[in-house]
Amino acid sequence: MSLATLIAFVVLAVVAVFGGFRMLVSRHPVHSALYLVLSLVATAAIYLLLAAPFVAVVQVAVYAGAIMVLFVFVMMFLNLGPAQDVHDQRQRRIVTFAAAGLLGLLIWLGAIWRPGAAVTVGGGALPGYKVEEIGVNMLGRYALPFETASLLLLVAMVGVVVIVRPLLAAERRQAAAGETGATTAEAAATAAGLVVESTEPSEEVGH
Amino acid sequence: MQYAWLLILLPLAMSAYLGLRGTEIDDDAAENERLVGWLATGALLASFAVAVFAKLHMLFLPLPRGAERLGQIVVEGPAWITVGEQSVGFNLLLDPLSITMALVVTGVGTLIHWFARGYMEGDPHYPRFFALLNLFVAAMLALVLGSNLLFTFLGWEGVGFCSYMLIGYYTHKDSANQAGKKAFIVNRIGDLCFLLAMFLAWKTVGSLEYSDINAAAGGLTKGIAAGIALLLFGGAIGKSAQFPLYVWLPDAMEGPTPVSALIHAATMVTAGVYLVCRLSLLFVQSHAVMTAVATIGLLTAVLAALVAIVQTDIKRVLAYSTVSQLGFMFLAAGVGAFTAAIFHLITHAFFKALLFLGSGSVIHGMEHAIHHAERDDDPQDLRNMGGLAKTMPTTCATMIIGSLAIAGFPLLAGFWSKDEILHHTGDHNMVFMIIGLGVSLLTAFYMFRMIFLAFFQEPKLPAAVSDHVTESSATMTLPLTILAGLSVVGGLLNVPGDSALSLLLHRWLHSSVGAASAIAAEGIVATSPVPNMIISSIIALVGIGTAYSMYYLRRGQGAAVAAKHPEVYRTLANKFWLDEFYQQYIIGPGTRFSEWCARQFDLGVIDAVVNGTAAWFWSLGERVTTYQPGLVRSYALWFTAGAVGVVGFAALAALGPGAAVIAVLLVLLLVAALAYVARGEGEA
Amino acid sequence: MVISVAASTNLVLALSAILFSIGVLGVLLRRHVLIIYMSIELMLNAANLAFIAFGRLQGTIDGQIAVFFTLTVAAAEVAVGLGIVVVVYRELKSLDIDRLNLLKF
Repeated sequence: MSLATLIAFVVLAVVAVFGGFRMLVSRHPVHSALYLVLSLVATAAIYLLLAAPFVAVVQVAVYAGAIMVLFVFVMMFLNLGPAQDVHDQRQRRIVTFAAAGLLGLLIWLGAIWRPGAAVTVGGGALPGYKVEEIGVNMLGRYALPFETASLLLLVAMVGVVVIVRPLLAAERRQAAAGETGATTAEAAATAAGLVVESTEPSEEVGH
Repeated sequence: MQYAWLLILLPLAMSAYLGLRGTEIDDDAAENERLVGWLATGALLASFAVAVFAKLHMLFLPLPRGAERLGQIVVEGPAWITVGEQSVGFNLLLDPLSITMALVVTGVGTLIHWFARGYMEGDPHYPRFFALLNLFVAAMLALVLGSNLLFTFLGWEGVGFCSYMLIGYYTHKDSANQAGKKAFIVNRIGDLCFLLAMFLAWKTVGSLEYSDINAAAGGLTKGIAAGIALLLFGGAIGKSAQFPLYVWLPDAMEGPTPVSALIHAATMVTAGVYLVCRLSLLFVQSHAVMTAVATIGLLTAVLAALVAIVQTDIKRVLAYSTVSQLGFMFLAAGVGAFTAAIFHLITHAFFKALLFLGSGSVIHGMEHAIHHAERDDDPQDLRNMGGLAKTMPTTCATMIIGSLAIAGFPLLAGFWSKDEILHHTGDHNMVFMIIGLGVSLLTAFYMFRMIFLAFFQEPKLPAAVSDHVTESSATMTLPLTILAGLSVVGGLLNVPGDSALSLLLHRWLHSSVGAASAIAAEGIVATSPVPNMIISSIIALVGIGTAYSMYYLRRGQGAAVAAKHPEVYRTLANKFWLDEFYQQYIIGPGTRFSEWCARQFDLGVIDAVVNGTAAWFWSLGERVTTYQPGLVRSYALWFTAGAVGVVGFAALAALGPGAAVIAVLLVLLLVAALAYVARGEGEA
Repeated sequence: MVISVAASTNLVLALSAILFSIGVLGVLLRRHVLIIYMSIELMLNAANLAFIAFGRLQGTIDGQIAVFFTLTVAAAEVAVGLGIVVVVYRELKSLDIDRLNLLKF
């Protein structure tokens, strides 16, 4: 790694940490999302430095693009305002910071500790690296995990449709009947749910 | 002879059917009763037919394969318990002894069923009664026909259960429930002895088959043989109501009268006698055991006969009479006269069933008359009866025949069987015989006291009652007549002498008990039975005459005698205070001990441990719930602590043991801090 | 000045650990369900970074392929998770995770 690369890495690392930190402390979820995009893009750039250009592109396209767009879309869909975060007890915050810091430290320690020649260290950037090699590996050696992953996506897709679909009229009545006599908070929540649903199209479209 | 299974299975299947068939609400009650009664009686009649066929089969057909010796056939059934090489199975033992018992049980049982059809008329639980009665007969047959102690024990417990259910048949009567419980519990003592005997036999003989035990009896140590025999006799004492366990039998009269006739006179209570005869070869091994059996039998006979004199309840007189006669049977077995014991068992089954059924007929008539007059007198109390000879002629006549038979009136059944017992006793021990003759006197006296009180004195209750007593229906009098006939001619089974028709039973039973009788009779000089017969006849007549003079010619003399000796009267009326003795020294301390256990041990130790454990876990749970506030982030924090632990240990363990210790300490610190922070988090 | 592959890998891993810790903090401190999800994404991203770094150290592309699977899982997780978020919001009219506390003693 040359000096120039090092400097680039440091700058990008600072940007990535800054983005992550701002995501953590931002009040408004939209701000958080945008800072996370910043952090992800910086990470993508680091991938470039680490001889992984294809991953970098995918990172930008899928992560910073698709996934984050989904986040923002949900926020818009639900028309969310700023988060009403109430601060925790001071002691709890201290313990939380200690736990998280300790975890990071220990992960790093564990990761860099490579005693002796247990790990073969390759020579710098990957020689003769081609994008097609990823494709060959993906559909060759890793064919089974690849297909499993596709199945996972399918299941997730179906699952989401089932989870989010509006309740059928019968189920709604049942839920309402079951909740009579429940606490007022729950009753209010149910009522709110019904109000939201009533603005949506009919059940048949939901399927 | 696999068909012998039908003997047991017919009543068993009918019992199951009657118990389970249920009754439609809109069924005609009388029609239903008729059907149930006929089915139950029919099952027994069929069983009796099988028994007769089996007997004829054994008498006249050539020896079938599988017979070990003449007249003994084991019908192999399925195995029940198999331990190593040994196996105990549901095998039937068919030999003269068991077939004779089966004939008595099914024959007398059929007549009693017949009678009960009339007696139980209008009872709301008619099917239950007959289901239990049939079940009883099935269990009794299992007891009798089983080829090993365990199968017999199954029947033994089965008859005990049915006895319990039937004594307490009138479930609305508290006294009936108490009596049922008493019979059951007292019998448990005997059953425990039976079980111990089985264990001992299994350990020493290695088999529970009667044939094996009898065959091995001679080779056993004297002590072991005596032990098994004594324990079995303990069981017999309970089941056959001998001193000191006879207290349950008089109370068992709480059951319906046909039950008393069938179970508590003719069949179940004779099981003990049967058991002794079945294992006669074992019993004769020890002279002491035989003497014990004879002594207990004689003692019981004396005590029960004395108590019977002062009883005022017609069924209790008969109950004590039964105890007394059972004592005679044990006396016979104890002196080695096993044939005589079985002989008396059979004749006793005839005339005691007759007497009980007769008393049932009397009670039935009295009950209706009292009910008609809208009074609430006790229909069983002799002091309420009198003059029934005119209104119930058939019952009266048959009862007199039964009483003559039991009293030993010449040429009737009881005369032959009792005389044979006394004759054999006399050959062994003169003193026993003289006491036995005394008991005969008492028997004749108390039986005719009952007859005169019930049938011949003038009516004690107002005419509104006594004029309405009517003879029972033909359903009830037919069995009485048949049994009366049997009571007259039953003695012919075993008439002494040398003709072709004499000693039939003796010859028939020879293959079953002959060997044992021979051992017991060693060194005994047989005498002629004739003098004995003459003495017994005289004694019977004296007893009857005394009763006649005290309770008919000069009535009130009985009460005068009682008033002159109040202590004697009270002692007898209170049955020698045996019940009070048990209450004072056994039941009382037992109850107190149980109560103490219930209070101190059960509440103080068992409950305290159980509840304490529960309370401890409860409080632990209360404390732990604090750390389950329902907040996802709280759980995540704990989760993170765990992750720190795992990663930290992995990371630092690579650096060396010291670092690993540091990692563990760090995690502990983190967890402690977390626990501190998480206090009461969910309550906010 | 040329830094060895091993040393530069250590640097990358340090960055990965820092990003991961920030993600952990986000999950533990924030109450907003969406921000918690984003923190999870950040943690996944940190793990990806470590994969890449190790792959480079070993001179193979296996690390990079692992990243694709992580991405797949992340995408599935986000899709389902956001679906749940929508339903929760319908019911509670709020995305405060501390209000989802029905599953306690």
